[in-house]
Amino acid sequence: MIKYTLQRLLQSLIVILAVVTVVFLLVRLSGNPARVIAPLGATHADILAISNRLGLQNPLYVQYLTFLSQLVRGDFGTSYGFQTSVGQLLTTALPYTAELAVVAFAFASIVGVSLGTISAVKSGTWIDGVARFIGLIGQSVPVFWLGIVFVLVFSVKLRLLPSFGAGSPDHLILPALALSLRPMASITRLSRSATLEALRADYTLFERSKGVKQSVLMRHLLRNMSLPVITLTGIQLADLLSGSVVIETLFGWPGMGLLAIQAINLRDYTVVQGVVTVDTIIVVLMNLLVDLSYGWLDPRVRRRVFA
Amino acid sequence: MARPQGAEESLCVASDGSECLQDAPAEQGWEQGVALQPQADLLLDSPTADAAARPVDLARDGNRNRHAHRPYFSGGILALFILAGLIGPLIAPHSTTHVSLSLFLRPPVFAGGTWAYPLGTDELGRDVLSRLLGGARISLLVGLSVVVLSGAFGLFVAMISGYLGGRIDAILMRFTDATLAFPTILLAIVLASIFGASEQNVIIILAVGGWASYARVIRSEVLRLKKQDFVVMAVVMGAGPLWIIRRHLIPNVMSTLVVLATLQLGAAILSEGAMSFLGIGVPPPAPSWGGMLAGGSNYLTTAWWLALFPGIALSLTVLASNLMGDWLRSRSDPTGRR
Repeated sequence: MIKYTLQRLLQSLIVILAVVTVVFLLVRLSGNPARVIAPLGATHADILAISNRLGLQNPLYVQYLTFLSQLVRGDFGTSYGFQTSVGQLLTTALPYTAELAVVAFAFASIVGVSLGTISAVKSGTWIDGVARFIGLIGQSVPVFWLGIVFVLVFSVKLRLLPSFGAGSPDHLILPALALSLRPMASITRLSRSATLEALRADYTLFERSKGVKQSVLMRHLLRNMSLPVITLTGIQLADLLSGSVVIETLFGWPGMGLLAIQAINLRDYTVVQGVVTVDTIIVVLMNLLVDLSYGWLDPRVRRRVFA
Repeated sequence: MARPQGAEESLCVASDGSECLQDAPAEQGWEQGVALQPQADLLLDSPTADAAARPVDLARDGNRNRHAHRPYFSGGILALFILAGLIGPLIAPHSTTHVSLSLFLRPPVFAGGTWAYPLGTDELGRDVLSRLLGGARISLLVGLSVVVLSGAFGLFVAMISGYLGGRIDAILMRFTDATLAFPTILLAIVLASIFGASEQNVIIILAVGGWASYARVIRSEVLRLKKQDFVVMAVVMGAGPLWIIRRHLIPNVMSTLVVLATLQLGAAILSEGAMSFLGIGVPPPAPSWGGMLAGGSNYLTTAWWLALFPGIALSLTVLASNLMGDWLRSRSDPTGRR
């Protein structure tokens, strides 16, 4: 168990290092990073000054090591566009994205798992139809269009909810709802098929023939169908982060996604680098947790892997 | 994607045999530290629950109704989309980029507009219908390029990984897993911030993020095929790896490849839309559907049609591509098990 955990932890670190390195190299591939960072219309002297400040006259490996050592200490550099430290910007933005993502994901999980399970048990009924419809639509409708439609209906026509910004719980409803549809669709689909599978399994047949109570049967079903659903969450998170960039931009929600898009418009490369690094760490760590929880939930896996 | 049933103890807990990817080599994979988790991504690819509903139905009415629902709806939409992409700009009534401010924000014909601009005009007086047709061409071009590039690379990785196995397989699959878990939009943000936005960059970004699912699914196919008699016989006969791959492996994974490609077409079009919406995709004034939506979202109160029509076009195209992929998937499963 410990050996496996350490092995996976090491792999996760390697992935993070690889991503950070690729980002580091990409900006140098583009020519002079100082030119990327410098505002439009900067003079040659300006660019030279930025160059010196960033230590670009040093050999590449020195720059790389400096960059890494700063990163390890949590120093993401200074933002030229926002005139403050990147770390500060990130710590302000991260809680907003986390709030949005957690609420959206919790909502998607609760609705998705219930709907998927019920629709499998009551296969062929209207509720099954609803579940399948959500599963299909959620995969096809662009999340930004859904957001626009929400704004049109709930903000413009009904005047019920604010369409822009953050601050009150009301502000959270529309973006979280729009963001939750896609994960809700895949969780519904997956819970449905996993429950159908569990319903056909031998142990279900056996328990039924023994006359086990419905509630006990349900508990066994849930435990078995939870595996693929939990496994899905790691992948979902990457999807959720992508979706949150779009949703944050649309609703003016001051999280990491909006920060990144603003940074691109300001040509503020250091902020982009910081956002990508933090997002990568989150995604990789979540995947690690999911992998470990998988072994914890499924004794068959535990026996094989952790033995 | 069918798999001999009960061959090995499968780690896959999902319903659909077609989505159980790590059957045989699961044990080996774990030893080498290949994460199990990305199979969920492929579980996720089993969209319309038809496939999942099947097992229960099958017990009763067997295989009879399997192909009853021919994909007229999705086929029709896709045909229309491809047609619009191919000849749309030729039949478009107006230029897609010509600005005439005197014509700005004309409503569609059924909301009091004129037939000269059937779907109205945008904030710069450009014809919405013509821009929709132009957008179809961009979506089609981006979608097909991404599918071809990432499909070819994914197939290549899958063949190497599946056929050679061992350490190379472990390394390649670890790399595949990392790619699957990485949010494509971050890559898009990085590249856009460094190199700027362009149609070409969109295709590169989506292809770089898209090959991994092909590699994973097709690799598991190759692992299954490799153990089958006709491949073993070919090896006994002294056939070389390239010959086996060309004559036996590639033809046998073709149907899987087509299913994945159809599903990815929709996903790629959707991602292009999202990127253009954010301003890191196809740059204006090119008439991308995502870009049109972004522009239209500023005029929600006064000109609802600007956001409505590109949204419908995008949703219908992606829906049709997903439905078609599902239908192909259920058809390509030769055992009729599901």
